[in-house]
Amino acid sequence: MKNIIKQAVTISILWVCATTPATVLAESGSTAGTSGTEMSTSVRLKLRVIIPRFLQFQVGSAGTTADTLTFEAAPGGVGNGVAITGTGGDAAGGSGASVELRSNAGQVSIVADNDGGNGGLGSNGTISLLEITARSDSSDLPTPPLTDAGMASSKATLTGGDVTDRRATWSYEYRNSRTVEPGSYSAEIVYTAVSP
Amino acid sequence: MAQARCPMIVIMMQHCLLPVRDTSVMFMLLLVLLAGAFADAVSNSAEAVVFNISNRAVPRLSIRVGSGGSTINRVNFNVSSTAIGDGTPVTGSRQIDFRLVIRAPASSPLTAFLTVDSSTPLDNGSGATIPVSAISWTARDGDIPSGSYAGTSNQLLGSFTSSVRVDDRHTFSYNNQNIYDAGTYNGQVTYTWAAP
Repeated sequence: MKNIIKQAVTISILWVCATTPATVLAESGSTAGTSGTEMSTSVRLKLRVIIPRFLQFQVGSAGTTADTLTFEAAPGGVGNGVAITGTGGDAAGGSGASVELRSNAGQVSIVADNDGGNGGLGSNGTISLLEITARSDSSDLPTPPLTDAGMASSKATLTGGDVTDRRATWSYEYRNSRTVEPGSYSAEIVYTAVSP
Repeated sequence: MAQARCPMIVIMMQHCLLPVRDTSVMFMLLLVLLAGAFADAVSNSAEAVVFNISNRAVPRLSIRVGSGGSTINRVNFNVSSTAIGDGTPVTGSRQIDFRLVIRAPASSPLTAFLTVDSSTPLDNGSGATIPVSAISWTARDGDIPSGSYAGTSNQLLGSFTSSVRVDDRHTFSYNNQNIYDAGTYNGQVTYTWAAP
């Protein structure tokens, strides 16, 4: 009987020792010691942040409505070469558009295309889009030039890594270098931001 | 002449704050010993036995973060593609339970300190990183107070004096204040529970 008792005590002691490590590095840990000695135990917690690819681009007012910039020549100034600023825009005193580009998907290009490739303003491209000068107040977010053929592009400067976070004001002027018949000449410019 | 002397069992328990596991061991031992004593008494062959099992409240620390065991829990933060970097906090995928225990004799109390190492940023495996300081937590009870990771190796979260058990539950949040490269960012923090 003594042997049985000894075995039981021994097994119990071993079990206690096995489940009482001095130092562990896991999610739960414990340690024991004596007074006056340092005790320390550590556990870890994992963290994960998932960031998807995205591209946000805005020209002019927010929402689905496209702003319209109107350039109106005075009756006595048609074709006199004095540039005309516009109205109706949300920036640059109405002659421009506020632009915001945010992305984490690498180098972003911006392409400008005209409506249907008609070659300019008016149903037959009467006024060339070269008569519209577009400028940006930020070299990090330049505006692509407007052309009759369309599809001209520019590149935004990366902020860091694959991230772009840029804002600018694009302003427009009508050069007014030609004398044309009276009327309203319109075109719609579509800007497209493209990431790799 | 047969002699039967009753076994004498002495269990010295100096401290009342016993973990459940220790109490279970004591109970198992007691049953084994009583069984042996009864058998010996019946057979009239036992000799006097003195068991001196001493539990002198060995100083002890234990910590659990999350579900316990050897699995390291993970908190995920999934950022919506429409809200990247807009400053809207992203709540973690799960809450994490904390349990701290420090035990020591009343005659020799101990003070233990909970610190966290968050010095290693999360990384996406492609060279981009997010500092752990972008993550904070809210405490359910405040025993381990609400706060945010400092991004340092030895941030003090609290101190407690023996003998005490501290339970709390933390809800984590990613501040989402910056745009980062797309990817899955992994990392971990290490909590250390120590009595110098």
